[in-house]
Amino acid sequence: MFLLLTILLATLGVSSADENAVTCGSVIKIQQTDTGYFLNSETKNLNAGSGQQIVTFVSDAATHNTLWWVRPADHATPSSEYPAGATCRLAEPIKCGSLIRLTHQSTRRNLHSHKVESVLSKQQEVTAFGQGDGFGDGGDDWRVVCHDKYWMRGAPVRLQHKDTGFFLGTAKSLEFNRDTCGSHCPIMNHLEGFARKEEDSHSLLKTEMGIHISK
Amino acid sequence: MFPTRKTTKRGCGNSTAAASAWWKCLLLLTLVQVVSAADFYKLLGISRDATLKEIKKAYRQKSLEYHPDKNKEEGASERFAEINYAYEVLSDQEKRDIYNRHGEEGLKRHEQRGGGGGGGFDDIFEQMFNFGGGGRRRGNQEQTTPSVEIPLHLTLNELYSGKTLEVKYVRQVLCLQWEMCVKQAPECHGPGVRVIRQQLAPGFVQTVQQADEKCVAQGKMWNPNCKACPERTQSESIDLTIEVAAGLRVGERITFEGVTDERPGYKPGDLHFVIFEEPHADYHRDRDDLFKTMEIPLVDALTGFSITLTHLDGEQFTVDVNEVTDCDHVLRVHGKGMPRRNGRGFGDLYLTFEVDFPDELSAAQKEAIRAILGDGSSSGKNEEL
Repeated sequence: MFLLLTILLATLGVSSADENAVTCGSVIKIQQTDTGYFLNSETKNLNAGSGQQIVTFVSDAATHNTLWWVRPADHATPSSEYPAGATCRLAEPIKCGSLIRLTHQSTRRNLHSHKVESVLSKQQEVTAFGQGDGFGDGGDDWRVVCHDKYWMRGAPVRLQHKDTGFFLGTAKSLEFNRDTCGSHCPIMNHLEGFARKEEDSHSLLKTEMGIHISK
Repeated sequence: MFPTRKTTKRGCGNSTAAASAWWKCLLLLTLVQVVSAADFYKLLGISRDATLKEIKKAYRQKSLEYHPDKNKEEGASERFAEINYAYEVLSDQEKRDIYNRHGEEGLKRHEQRGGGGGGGFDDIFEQMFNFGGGGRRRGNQEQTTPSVEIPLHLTLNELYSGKTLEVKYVRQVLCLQWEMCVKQAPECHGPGVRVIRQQLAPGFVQTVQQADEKCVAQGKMWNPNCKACPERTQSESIDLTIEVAAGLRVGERITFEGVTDERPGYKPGDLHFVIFEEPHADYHRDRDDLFKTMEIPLVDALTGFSITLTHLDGEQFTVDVNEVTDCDHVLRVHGKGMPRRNGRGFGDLYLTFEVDFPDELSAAQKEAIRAILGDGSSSGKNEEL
C-alpha cells in the first residue's frame, strides 16, 4: 500500500515537472539563497581587476538592473538566435546540466568570468562582458547544475562557469561600503559577485522573479 | 540586434563633429566670447584625469567666480549654468565615462533612456529656486521605472501562421498599504533625492541635492518602522498572453503597458516583446513578399514544367509554367507571400529560376537538337569580326 502510494506520488511529480521550469528566452532575476540578494549589473566599471563592467548582488528587488536574458550558449551569429545545435530553444524548459548564456537585459553584456582575481574576496572575478550587442566570447558560457530533470523555478541550483569550472556566488561579508569602497561608493552596499571552486551555500542560487515565457 | 536607438557608435562620430562645428562658430564670431560647452574639463580648468577631489575644488572656485550674484558681466549666468552641468557630469563616474567616450551627445541619449533617474550618487550643486538663470534641472515629475524589452526570435513558419506564447510575470508591486507608510518630509525633493542647504563660502548658501533612499516623492519620505508594510514592495505574479499575429515584421513589438516592477514614487514602465526573424532554409522574406530560388533543368526551361512547393504552413501548392524560361527568370506567384497584417490577403512569392545546363552532350544529342532548333551559327557563313 505504502509502495503504491509512493509510486503514485512519484509519477504525479514527474508529469507536472515542466510547468514551473525556467525556460530559454525568458528574462529572469537570480537570487543567492542565503542572502536573498539579486544578481545585478549596471554600466559601471571597477578601477581594478579587468576593468570590465561590474557584476554584483543587490538587495533591491524592484530594479531592472537585475534582469538577465536566458539564451543558448555560444550561439553563432547576429542573424540567428537559435541555430541548429543550439543548447536551448525559445520557450523550452532548460535541462539540468545544459549550457546557457545570461545576457544582462539593459546593458546587453554577458555574464562572464575569467582567470582574474576579484577585488574584495580575491576569488575569481565575474563581469558583464561584450560590446553591448549581446555577443561576447567563450567565457560567457555557464552550466546549470541541478539534480532534477529541468531547472525549476524556486529550486536551488548552481551556475558553473564552463571554462574554469568555478561556481558563481556571493557572501554577506563581501560588501562594498565606506571601508572597502569609500564614502562616495557608486555601488554602496552591493555584495561582490565571484566565481569559486568550492561548492557550498555561497553558490546556491534560485530564480523566481522575472518574465517567464512558455508555450 | 536592437532597434538603432541604442547605437554604440564609438568616439569619432559625435565629439569631433561638435568640435569642428565649434571651430566654425569661432571663425564666424571672433569678436563675441563663445561659451563652449564642448569641453567640460576646460570649463573647470582641470586635466582629463583629474580626481574627484580636484574636480570639487575646481568647481568651487569656478562657481564662485561666475556666480551671478557676484558676477554681473554678460554671459556669466550662462557660464555658471555650464559649470554646474560640467560638475554634475564629471563628478558622477558613470556620466563621466559616457561623456569621455561619446561626448555631450552620448549624455543626452543616456538621459533620454532614463539613465540615472533623479539624483546621482554624488552631491549635485544646484541653483537656488528663485534663481532663474538657466541650469539643467532634470524633471522630477512623474517618473516611471524603466521599460523592459525582450526579443522574441521566431521562425518564418511561426510568423506566417501566427503564434501564442504564455507568460508568467513575477514582479515587485507596491505593498497594498504603502501610502500609510509615507510621512511628510519637506526636504525630500523626489524619489531618492533629498535637498539640504550648504554653505559654499561666507555669505553664499546653496541648496545641495543628495541621494537618499528614504525619499520617495516630493515632500514624502518612507517610514521604515511602519508595520503596515515591512517591505516597500512585494512579489506578485501576473499571467500575460503574447499573441503574435500572422505577418508581424522584424522590429515590431507587442506591448503590455504599466506592468514592470513598481517602486514608491514611480509609475511602472512598459513591457515590450520585440519581433526578430530566424533565417529560413528555403524562403527569404522582405516585408510581405517571399523570395525563393530554384534550379530547373534545361529541358524544363525550354519546354515548360510543373512544380509542387511546400509553403510555410506545410500546405502544398503547384506552379505551372508553359512558356520558355529565361536564365534567372523571376516568376511572380500572386498571393503566396506572407499574410498582410491588416488581414487583407497576402503578399507575393517571387521564384527565381536558375537554369541548369547539362555538363555534356553526346554527338547524337547535339545532332538531334540542331535538327529541332535549327543550325544556328554553324551554317557556314563567314562572320566579320
